[in-house]
Amino acid sequence: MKGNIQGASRPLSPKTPSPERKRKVISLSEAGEMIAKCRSIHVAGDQLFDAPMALIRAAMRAGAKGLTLIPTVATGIAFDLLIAAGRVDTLYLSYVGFEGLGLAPAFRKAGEKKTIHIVEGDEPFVVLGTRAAASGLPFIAVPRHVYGATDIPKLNPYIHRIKDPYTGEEVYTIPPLRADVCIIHVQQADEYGNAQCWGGNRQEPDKAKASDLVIVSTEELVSVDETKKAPDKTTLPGYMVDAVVHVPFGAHPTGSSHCYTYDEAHLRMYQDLVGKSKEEEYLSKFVFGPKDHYEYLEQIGVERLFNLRKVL
Amino acid sequence: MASITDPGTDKYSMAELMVIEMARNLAECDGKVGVVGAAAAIPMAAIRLAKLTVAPNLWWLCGDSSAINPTFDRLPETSAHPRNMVGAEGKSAMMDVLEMGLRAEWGFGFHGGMQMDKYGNVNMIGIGPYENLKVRGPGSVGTTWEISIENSYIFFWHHNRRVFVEKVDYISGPGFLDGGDSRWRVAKPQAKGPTYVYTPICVMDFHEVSHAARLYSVNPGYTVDDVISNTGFELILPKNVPMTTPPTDEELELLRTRVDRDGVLKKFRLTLG
Repeated sequence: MKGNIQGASRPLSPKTPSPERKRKVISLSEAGEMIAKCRSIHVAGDQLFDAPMALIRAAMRAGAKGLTLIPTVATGIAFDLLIAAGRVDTLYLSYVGFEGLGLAPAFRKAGEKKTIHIVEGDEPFVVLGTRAAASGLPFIAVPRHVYGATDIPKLNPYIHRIKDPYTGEEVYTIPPLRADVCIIHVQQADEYGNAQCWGGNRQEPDKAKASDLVIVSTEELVSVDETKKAPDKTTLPGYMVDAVVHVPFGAHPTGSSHCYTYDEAHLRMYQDLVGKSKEEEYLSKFVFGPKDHYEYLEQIGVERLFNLRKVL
Repeated sequence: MASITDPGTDKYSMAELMVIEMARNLAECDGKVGVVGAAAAIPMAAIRLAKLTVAPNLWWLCGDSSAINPTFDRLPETSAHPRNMVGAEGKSAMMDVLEMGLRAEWGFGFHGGMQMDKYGNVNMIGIGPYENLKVRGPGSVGTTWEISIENSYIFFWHHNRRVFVEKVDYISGPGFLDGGDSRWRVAKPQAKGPTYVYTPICVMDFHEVSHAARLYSVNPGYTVDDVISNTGFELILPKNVPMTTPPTDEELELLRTRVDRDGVLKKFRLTLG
């Protein structure tokens, strides 16, 4: 039968409802407020490079607390600073430290005094747990050789030993690690959230997929036309990103891949102060004292910041 | 804390000697795929030197930088440094790294730890009862994969009785477990386990049957007694313990011109005691 009434859909017109695409750029303090409303955070970046430090400081200023933290394979001051300020409740562990520069002072103290809850994990636990959450899987099973000889399953109540229903062999399960928000520092992003991690190792898209909200801070904010010149360089497509913040030197005191190296003297000063229980001194000077990121950068000093760019 | 800090000699530093000895032994890995983790400048230099000399067919993944086959001549101080990507052949994803361990296909790998016992088990978790840790360790990271590596190499910046203990408080990286064949109750047959242990003063290997640590060679300037008095477990002592072959002029020249032009290896503070 031939239809004789008008269709329910509306004819296309470039003017309706609006050809305007929604930009995702927000301010650092807005980002801080958003993170402060969350309880669990996926944090990208490693112990010396690409940690989203400006976002973390903004979240602390906005009152973030009682947090559960999920790291990459290795993390350092990003977690240690939050612990030093008493903002952490639970930490999923693979590695927290400063690599060749030594142990993470607040993490070590909190671990020994039991002021935070540490879930004893490792590289496979954190990476595959994130993978499971990213893929929407109920859990990931790993072969027995992975955990059969370490003490990790004995110390980690979330790792279970079960029978593989196909082979009957023993396997270990890792649960999905989901978070309310994911924070990532990148080197370039456009106004729609298309981002380039010049470092990283593809844990970032998994972390984004494993989180309800994704906030990216970027060294350079560019137009989407720039993204279109080399779309294969986009490592985190904008559809996975909710908000973009322009934060030059936003990874300091860690480095930012192919932009500047880590500030070794600053990291050592941090370790020294927190090691001597003078965390308040550090926090008031570098976190709560400066009213915004630019005041923080002024504290560090222009000459020093630009010297960090020389070494690459 | 340390009684001696990186004495080396006026010809070479202890880290340079470690690198050169590691590189010589990597000949046995030629053609295999390997990995280094964090705090790995010493093995990074060794692999680079081995590729220029005895093992041109090594493939290696460089820690957090994820660089595949870096060709630096200015050794980065950390495997996380993006400078490892300069002159590399590619970049791996973290999942690629994990999958090698899940399938037990790593040909070789290097790692350290806060404690090691006489069967090459390594601890990164902590020291003391878990409910009341005396020292909270940084976490196990990728030491877990010691179980799935064909030839694993263990290295330490410090040689003392706190590092080398009779039994580790926790196992992060499983070596030969309780010795004998106990490792293979869990490990895949191809994952042979710890091959050599490199410290600032000696090299250890493991007995073919008991798989207990054995003194392989003592570095120039040190004695068997230095090793014994700074090791918290009983090492197997062969009748004659050789001296680790000192670096040749040619080896040092290669290392300093093709691998570590900035002299990073001369700055490391390795300690004894």
